[in-house]
Amino acid sequence: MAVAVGIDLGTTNSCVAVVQAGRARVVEDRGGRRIQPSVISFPPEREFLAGHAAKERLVSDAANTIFSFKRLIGRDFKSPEMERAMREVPYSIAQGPEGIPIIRARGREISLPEVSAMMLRHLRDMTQESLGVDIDQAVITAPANFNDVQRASTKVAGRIAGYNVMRILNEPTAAALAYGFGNRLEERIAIYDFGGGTFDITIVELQGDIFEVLATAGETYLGGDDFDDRVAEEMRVQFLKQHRYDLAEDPVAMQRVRLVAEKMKCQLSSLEEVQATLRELAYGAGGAPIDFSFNLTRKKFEQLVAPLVDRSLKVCEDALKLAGMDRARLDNLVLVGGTTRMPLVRAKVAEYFGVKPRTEINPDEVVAIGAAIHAYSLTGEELPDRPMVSVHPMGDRAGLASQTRSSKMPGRLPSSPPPPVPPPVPSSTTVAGAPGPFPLGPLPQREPSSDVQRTIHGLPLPTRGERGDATAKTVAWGAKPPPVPHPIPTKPPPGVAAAGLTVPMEPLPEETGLDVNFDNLPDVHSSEKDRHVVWDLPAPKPGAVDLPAPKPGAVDLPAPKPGAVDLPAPKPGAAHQPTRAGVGALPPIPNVPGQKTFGAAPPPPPPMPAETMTEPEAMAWPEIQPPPQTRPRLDAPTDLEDASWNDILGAAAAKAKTPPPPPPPMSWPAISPDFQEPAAMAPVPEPVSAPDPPPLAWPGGEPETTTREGLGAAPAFPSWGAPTAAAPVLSPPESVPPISGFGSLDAIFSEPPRDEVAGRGKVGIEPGTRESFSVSMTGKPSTALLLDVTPRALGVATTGGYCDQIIERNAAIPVEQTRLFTTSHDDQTEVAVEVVQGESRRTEENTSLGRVVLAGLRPAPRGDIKIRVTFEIDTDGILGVSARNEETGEAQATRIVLSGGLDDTQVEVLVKKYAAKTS
Amino acid sequence: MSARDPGFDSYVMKISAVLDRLDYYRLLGLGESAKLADVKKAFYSIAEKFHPDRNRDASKEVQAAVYAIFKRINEAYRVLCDPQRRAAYDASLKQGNMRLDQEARKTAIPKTPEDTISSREARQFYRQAAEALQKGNLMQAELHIKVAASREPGSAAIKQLEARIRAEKASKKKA
Repeated sequence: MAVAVGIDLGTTNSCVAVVQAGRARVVEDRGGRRIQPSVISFPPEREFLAGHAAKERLVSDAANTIFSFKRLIGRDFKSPEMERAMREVPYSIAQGPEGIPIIRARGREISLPEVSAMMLRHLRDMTQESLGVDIDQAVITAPANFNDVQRASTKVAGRIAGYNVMRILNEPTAAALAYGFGNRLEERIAIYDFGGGTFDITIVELQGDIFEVLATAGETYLGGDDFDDRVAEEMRVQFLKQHRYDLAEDPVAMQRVRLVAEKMKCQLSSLEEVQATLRELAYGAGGAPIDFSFNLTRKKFEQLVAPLVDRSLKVCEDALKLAGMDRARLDNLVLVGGTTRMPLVRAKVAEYFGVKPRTEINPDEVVAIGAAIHAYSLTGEELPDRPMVSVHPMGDRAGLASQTRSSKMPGRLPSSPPPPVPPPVPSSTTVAGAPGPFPLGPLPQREPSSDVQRTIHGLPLPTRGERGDATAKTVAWGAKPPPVPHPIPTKPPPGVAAAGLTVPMEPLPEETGLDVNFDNLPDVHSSEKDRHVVWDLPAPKPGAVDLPAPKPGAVDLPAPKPGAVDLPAPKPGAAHQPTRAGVGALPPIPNVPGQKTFGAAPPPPPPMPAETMTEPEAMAWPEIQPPPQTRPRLDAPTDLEDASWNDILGAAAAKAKTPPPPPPPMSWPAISPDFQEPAAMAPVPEPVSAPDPPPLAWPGGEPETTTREGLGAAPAFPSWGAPTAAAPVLSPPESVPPISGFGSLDAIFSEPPRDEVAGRGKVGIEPGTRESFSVSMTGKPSTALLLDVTPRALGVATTGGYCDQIIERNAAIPVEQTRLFTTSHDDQTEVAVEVVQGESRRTEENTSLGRVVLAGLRPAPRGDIKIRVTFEIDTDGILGVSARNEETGEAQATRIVLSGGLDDTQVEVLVKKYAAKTS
Repeated sequence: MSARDPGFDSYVMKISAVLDRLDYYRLLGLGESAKLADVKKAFYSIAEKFHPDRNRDASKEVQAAVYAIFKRINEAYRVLCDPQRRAAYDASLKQGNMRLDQEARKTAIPKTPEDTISSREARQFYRQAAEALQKGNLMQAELHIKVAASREPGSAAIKQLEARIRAEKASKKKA
């Protein structure tokens, strides 16, 4: 049995959550740590290290330790972001084949999706180890403003890491889900998501279980790292002033400075003043070591970073404009991302929106929790017994767990109908804080064979050595992950850790035999209450550091070839005159075999075995709109002027005065197996270009006989979901569990533990803490419905440096738009369409995603050949492009040359390569 | 939980077969006078059934149909929610167009004067000049627009802004 997880793959830290026993919770690693640094390191003796073990090597092995790779994924080698990164990071980035950037470390060349895949793989191994179940499906989050290539690359990374990626979910949307799910709220909320590398603002309307994203905006290169940089820069300047030595020339020293800057930033969220001392930061004349003391007050810090916060507020304004909304109409403000811990950020944002932010939320975990809830929403429907309630080794449903584990990773469950299983009952386990997940009963037996039987109780805590072994397996890419080691060292029940059995740290890799253990470096001598904190940072002995002469990462790069994109033939000047696209008779775009889409994500959703079908719960469970819990809302944006708005306002005002009418039945007209198609609907005359379709009748209503002119006057148009007289007024079925209200929210809104800055390695895990970060899944777990948008406009470059939008910014997804192109030269056999993302009318100000090349055209006078190009964005927000020849109706051979991404073939190679390594 | 309702699936297939012949109002099951609140309500209730996420258990064929239908529903919803676009759509519907096509859509995103400047540098200076003007910093505005004009002498947009800045300056002197 495998489970689906939610993964927040962050710029600085990553977090995994899973829905278990009816609640979403964060997965802890062996050391009880809930977030994992997004760092990959390549030591000499091992394929790679990830997470905490890799972060330890940030200073000692800077050239081979990759951080902030999320900022680079899906970027073109020549993009300004990449140029900036090459200036700033100590590792080496080079131009790979076809212009994709690659990382050079320890003599290897690794593409960015691979680096992300290593991180995802590490998280998967960690989760499997921690939960004792296979992880094969995941919802992975991405910043809302990630462009298409970045999304597709993230999905590819998931595939390489062995996941079936069910969804690339926008981070703020995930946060909204964690915030509002199961609480049947009717609110408009803003999710202000300021993470390590990116900033997003998303405005979501919550209507019960529907989460409609009204607008989203963001900046992909604005995050907590920039705050660190500002502090680090200040430190560099100070050091230069004091010692006339520019640390910029020494990447190792600069890296130390940056890490200290980050820690100071975090400390300044709670302290007024912080002091750091870096020992032997540089060497003066005659090799005399220079120590560096640096003092920073919160006031000074806020001066340094205020412009960054202001930049984020500018983006907020943008989003509000897109949503057609006034700030005052927001009901709630949710803060996400570590950067929002800063008092300055909180104050400025609260002032801007005029709403007190929900500061109780744990900004580091909420995204993963939301992703887990979504993963459960997506899988819960098809396999009712699938939620981990039945398989988790610590689950308390002994009778349900006789499942075989599907041994093939991306495989699906056998298609035999699953045994009937009652839906997860919101029992005592739904009470936040109840010790549900750690039962006292025996564990269900599983089938032997490839599976290893597990028991949970009576297992001694693993010794240090055992842990070390397991960790080693976890971090080595090549080794088969230990889905079920024998016996499994399980997570200690709560209380064990608290009782003093502190979890040992992961053993240091041997190479760090130098006297730098970064984990202990920022030794906070005093508790947080002290005003002054001194870090004592011994410098690594120069000889011990495993570094060649510290070259700044970007120095030894081959000069990027200017003409790296080798596009055959299409004449650069080939103008693609967009013509008016008639849309009425649009035939469905066939699935062209061999047709490539961006990021290898075929637009249609993944196939499901029909046998495992279950009825969506909503079918059997009519949508009940409970009487509004909040004040009556108006759905019209205030700033719209239209006659009908007045009507609405009037109607709403009247509504507010009168007692609330019985909730309108929002349900779909009942559709029964013996559903009879209305007679008028059957014959669809061809050709479809008839000016007026034959009258259609809809279930639940009378056959429509009115003409178009008559429609306006027709009263309620009986149709799909519209309230009809026939639909009975529904009352909540008995099976509906009581709405949990805000009680469950307390769980994620409790005060988070302080970051590891101050107390890494010392923090014992309190049983209370263990339990506190979870969201109860009361209500109907599988009914959350996300209606998301695409962040940026998509278009094509046309003549004169202009570009035409095909899909507008913030279009609801999935979406499809079509455009007609013609040849612009006589006898042209190929057409190249440059796909751009961004809102500017000028091509050069947008991001080029790549080119679609349409080949094999019949030589003809220009303008004769018309090609219909369709842009489709799927529910992951990933673009697919298809094209067909208007003349022949045939699909054209298309090639997509992605900027900064991998094409299908490359992806397949990588998937195979890493699958082979693990088997 | 029971199996998927085959009736619903056949319903989906039927709708997908006539999808191109349905106008936005019919797609959402609304009359042409439907108010925004009704549009939203109809959209939500349809989304509950027709969103691809709600049909992950369907056959491939049905899933493809659901995808196609929901994409159109999204399109319909966004057009009917926007008064300007809805007016444009109503006009185009009278001519028998079931969808609001690209040309009509494009009018919703007007070209700004800035867009007509082809030199990137000139555009940047133009933007800075406009910003400075808005802030009332006429000196700076004048400086920027002069640079912009030097980068692209023929631009009408730049000349226009230049004239505005001059006029503003003159009126300030008077005052």
